[in-house]
Amino acid sequence: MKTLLLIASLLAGQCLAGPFFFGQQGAVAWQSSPTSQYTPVAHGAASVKWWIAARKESFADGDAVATASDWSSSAVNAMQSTSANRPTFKTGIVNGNAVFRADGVNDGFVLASNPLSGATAATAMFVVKLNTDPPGSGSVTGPVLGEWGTSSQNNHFPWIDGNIYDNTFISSRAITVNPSTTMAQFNQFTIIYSGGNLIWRMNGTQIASASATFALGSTPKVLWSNKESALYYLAGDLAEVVIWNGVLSGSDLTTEENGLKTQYGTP
Amino acid sequence: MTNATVIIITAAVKDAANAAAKAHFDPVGGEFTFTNPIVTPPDLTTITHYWTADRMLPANRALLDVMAAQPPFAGNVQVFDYDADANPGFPHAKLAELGLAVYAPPLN
Repeated sequence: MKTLLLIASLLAGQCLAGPFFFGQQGAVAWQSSPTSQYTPVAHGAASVKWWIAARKESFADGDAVATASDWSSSAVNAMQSTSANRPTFKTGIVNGNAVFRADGVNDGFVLASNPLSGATAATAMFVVKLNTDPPGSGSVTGPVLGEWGTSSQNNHFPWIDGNIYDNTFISSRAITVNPSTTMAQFNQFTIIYSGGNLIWRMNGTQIASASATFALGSTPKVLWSNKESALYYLAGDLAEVVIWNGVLSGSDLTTEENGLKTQYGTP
Repeated sequence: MTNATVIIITAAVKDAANAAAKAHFDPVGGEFTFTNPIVTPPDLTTITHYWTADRMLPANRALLDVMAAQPPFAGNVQVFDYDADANPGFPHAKLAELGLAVYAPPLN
């Protein structure tokens, strides 16, 4: 059916060509998708406060992405004003879904404000694949969520030793974990701050937790971090990020994680 | 296939390169094109170069070659094209091949 729709679209002259600013040839923007598209929802007091998803964008394959829309009510878009630093939009990469591809050199987004402002807890979920795990010594990767906390240190996803060093939503780096599952494939990660603890989950299983103090940064970044007078960029594909301003637990947590798992076919 | 280009400049021409990027390639945010520092091991603290990677219009790519051959950029700019889909690891591999490395303080 999708093939028929694509052919019909082509015959109707509806090929979607991206802006030619970056010299990319026009490409047909289409993607297969699961029958039911995942949509995150509020759970009690935990509202969806930030949500970017490449699959919901309508760029053409190869386009540079200046703005990744925030599909939550916060409307705090992820932006990149410098053309060379814009991630590349790629269609049909994971289970038929598009991704934001970061080159590990200079690609990443900045938010004008923290959409979690005023929150005292948070849950974040994202689906991502690194080019290599661990990165080579010359390609120390940055985080998916950079500077969402107030730590003066960078967080790494991972450092060259294979460890994730994380300070998302908190005042100082607290998490160190080297997942047994390779990060050079698409995985679903969850970060929860709840009651003085930061918890990391990977593909539905807890992989780390540590005591931490909740503290929100003022200029969050995506796919990079700029602390300690150094810039760290992620090299890989980011499909989707969802952040709630509260704690998801029990069946609510499972429902959202399973929604992403079904959407992307992650383990 | 996604055509991309890695540009490495010496630190000496950083200001001129960012000014040229803004004037000729990216009027909105071009002044931040070369902000990512590179060191030359074994000295891991002295910034010797800056780099960027980008997808460029054919006309801009041609203009880059012209500008790279003229003062103050002649001898201070290295340009490498690659397929970002087939070889996403090219930028860092090229950096290592050139004996350079991304500036990265030790983990603390």
